[in-house]
Amino acid sequence: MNKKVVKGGQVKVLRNDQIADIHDASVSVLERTGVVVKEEEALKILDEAGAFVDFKKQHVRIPRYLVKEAINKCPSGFTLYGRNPKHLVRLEDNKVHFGMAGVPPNVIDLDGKRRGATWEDVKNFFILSEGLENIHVADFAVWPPCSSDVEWPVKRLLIAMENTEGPVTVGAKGTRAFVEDYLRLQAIVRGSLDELVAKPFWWSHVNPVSPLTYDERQTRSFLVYAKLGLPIHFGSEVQAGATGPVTLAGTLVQQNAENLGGIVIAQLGAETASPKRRPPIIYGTISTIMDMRTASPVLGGPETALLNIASAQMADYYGLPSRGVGEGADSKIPDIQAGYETSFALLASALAGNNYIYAAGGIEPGIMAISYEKAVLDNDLIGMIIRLLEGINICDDTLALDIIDEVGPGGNYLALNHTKDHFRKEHYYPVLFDKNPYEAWVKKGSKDIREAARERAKKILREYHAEPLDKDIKRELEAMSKEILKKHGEKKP
Amino acid sequence: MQQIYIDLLLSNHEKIDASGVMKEEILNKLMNAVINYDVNEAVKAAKEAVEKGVDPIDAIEEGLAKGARIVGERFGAGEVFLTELAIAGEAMKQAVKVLEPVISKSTKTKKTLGKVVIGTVEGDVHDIGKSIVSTMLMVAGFDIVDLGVDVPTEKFIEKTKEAKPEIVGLSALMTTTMFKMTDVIKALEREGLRKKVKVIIGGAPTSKEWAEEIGADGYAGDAIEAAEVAKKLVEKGIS
Repeated sequence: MNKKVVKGGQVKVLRNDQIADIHDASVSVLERTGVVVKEEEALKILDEAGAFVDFKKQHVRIPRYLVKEAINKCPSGFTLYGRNPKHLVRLEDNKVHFGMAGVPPNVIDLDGKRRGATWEDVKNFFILSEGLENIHVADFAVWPPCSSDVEWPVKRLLIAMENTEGPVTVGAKGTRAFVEDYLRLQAIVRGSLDELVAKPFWWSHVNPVSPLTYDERQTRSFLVYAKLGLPIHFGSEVQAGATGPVTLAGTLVQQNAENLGGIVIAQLGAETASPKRRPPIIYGTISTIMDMRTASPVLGGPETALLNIASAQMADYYGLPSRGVGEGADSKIPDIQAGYETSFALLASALAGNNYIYAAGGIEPGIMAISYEKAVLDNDLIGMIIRLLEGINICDDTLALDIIDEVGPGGNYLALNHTKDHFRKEHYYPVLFDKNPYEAWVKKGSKDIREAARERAKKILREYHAEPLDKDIKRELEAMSKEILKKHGEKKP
Repeated sequence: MQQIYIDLLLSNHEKIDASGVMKEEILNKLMNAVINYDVNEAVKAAKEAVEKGVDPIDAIEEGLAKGARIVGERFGAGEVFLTELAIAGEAMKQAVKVLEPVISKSTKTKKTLGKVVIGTVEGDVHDIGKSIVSTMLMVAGFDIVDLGVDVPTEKFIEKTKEAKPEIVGLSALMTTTMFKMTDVIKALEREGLRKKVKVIIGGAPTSKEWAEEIGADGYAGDAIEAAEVAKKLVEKGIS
C-alpha cells in the first residue's frame, strides 16, 4: 500500500537573507512582546529554564538561546505508521504526502446536498482516503458537531482501526489523565506504550491561538506527548489583518514566533520526563488572509500559496519537517472556481516541499465543508502534481539517442519496445479526467466529470475493505474504550 | 428703506450667530473624522464640542452617528472594507467616551434603536467576527454592551439583568463551543429573562437551522444581516 512519494522544494519565494530576517524578527517578538501561556506546568518549566515569566498575567518572554537549544533537539524528520506498521510515511527531506481537507463540520454528499457531518462520513472518508491512490494518509476529514472531547477521539480511533491499515490521523486533546489514557488505548494496537512510541500513529495537533497565545487544553495535551517522545505539530492559523499583521511578512514573523514558542515549551517539557525525551516536531502553516469584505479566512488565493512556500522554507531553515495547506477552494460547489483555486493552492504547497499537505475535498471560505466528489477529483489533480514533482528523468536510456537513430527521420515510435516500456512511467494517466476528443466524449454520453467522480466515490466506498482488525485487539480496544468513556465522561459538550 | 435694512440686519444676525456656525463646523468635523477613519481627529473634535458647549447628544447624532451611517452604507455597498469599518467604529467609540461625562447635562435623550448585550460564549476566544457585528450594530443605531470573549453564562445573565437590553447576541466559532448557546438560553429561561429579550446568534459553525433548534429568535450570517435582523426584532417588540 505504500503509495508513490516524490520530493518537492523546487520553488522558493524567500532569499536566504530574507529567511534570516524573519527568524531574527520572530525571536525578537518572543523576547520583546512575549507570549501568553495559559498552563501552569508550562509556565513553571519556562521559568526554571530561564524565560521571564509573569505568573499572574501568564505572560512569558522567551530569550533566543532557548529557541536555539530547542531547535537543536528536534530530529530532522520522523515516521508515522499505520495499524499495519509496514504501511508508513516518512516525513523528511521534502518528501510530499497528501491527506484530506482539515476537519470541516459540513459535507456535500453524493446527492449534492450540503449537510452536517456524521460518524458515517468519518468512516467513509477513512475508507475513501485509503482507496484513492494519491492520498497517503487516511484522514477522518470531518468533525461531526455532536461529539465531545472524550467521545470524539475514542470513537474515531475505533472506526480508524476497523477501516484502515495505513497511516491514519488519530489523536486526542483534553485533560492530562484523559490524553494519557487515550495513548494507552493506541498502545493496545501496538502491543505496549514503548512500541507505540517507537512507531507512533499520528502527532499531537497544536494550533497556537493567534496572536501569541497557547491555550490550556492544547498545551496540557501536547506536554503529555512531549514527555513520551511522541511527535507534535505546531501550526499557526494566522488570519492576516485580523489575528496577525495584514502584511504577509508580518504574518510569517508572528506565525514563526508562535511555532517556535511552542517548540520551546515542548522540548523543555520533554526534558522533565524520565527518561528525558526529544519529541519530533513538524512545523505547520494554516495561515492565510482574512477577506476584508466578509471576515472569512480565504485560502484559495495567491497569499496562501506564498505563505505555504515561505513556511516550508522556514521549516527547512530550522531543519524541521513541514506541513502545509492545499485544499483552499473558496467556491461553494466543486465548480471551475474550485478547480482553479485548488490547483493553485495544492501546486504551491507541493512545490514548496511540505511533507504533509491537508489536501483533498475542501471547499468554502474557512474550509467549512468537504465534498465527496471533489475529494475524488482532487486525487487526479494530486496525481498530476506528483508527476510534475517527479520531473524529467535524464539518462542515456531516456535521452534515447540510439532509438532516435534507429527510427530515423520520418519514422514513428509507436511500436517500439522503448515506447511500451517507458510510457506508463513517463506519462501520467489520470483516473477520471476525460482526455477524449469531442466525438468520443459525446458518444460516451457527454458526461460532466463531476458525475464520474461521484460514481468513483461510490465504487471505492463499496469495494475498498481493509483487512479485518485482529479480534483480540478489537475486543481489548472496545473494553478499554468503555472504561475510558465511563471514567472521563461521554457527555456532549 | 430703513425698515428693510433693519430686517435684513436682524435676519443676517441670526444666520451668523457664532455658536450656530461653530456648532455646524464641529458637527462636520465629527462626521468627517468618522468618514475619514481618523480616531485622533474624532477625539479632538469631541473635546472641542465639550469645550464649546455643543450639546453632546447632537454631537453624537448629528456628527458621529451621521458619519457612521454613511460608512455603514458604503460598507453595505462594497465600497468600504472591514478594516475601515472597524476604524470608523473605533473613532466613534473614542469620541463618545470623551462626550460621556457631559451627556447627563443635555436636555435631550439619545435616540437609540435599543440596547444589545453581546459576547462570544464560554470557552471560545474568537473575537473579530463578534466585534465587527458590534460595530455594525452601533453604526445602525443600537447601544452596545460588548462582554468580549470566553464569557461565562453567568456573566451573560448578570449583564442582562443589569443593562436590561432588548437584544442578547451570542457568538461561537467552534463546533465544540456552539453548545454553550443552549446553556445561555436555558439560563435566561430559568431567571425569567427569556421573554424580555430577543436572542440573536451567529458564528461560522452555526446556521439558521441551529438557531431554530436551540430556540433563538434570530440568526445572522454576517454583520450586515445582524443589523437587519436586530432592527426587525426590535420593531416587532418584545412579546
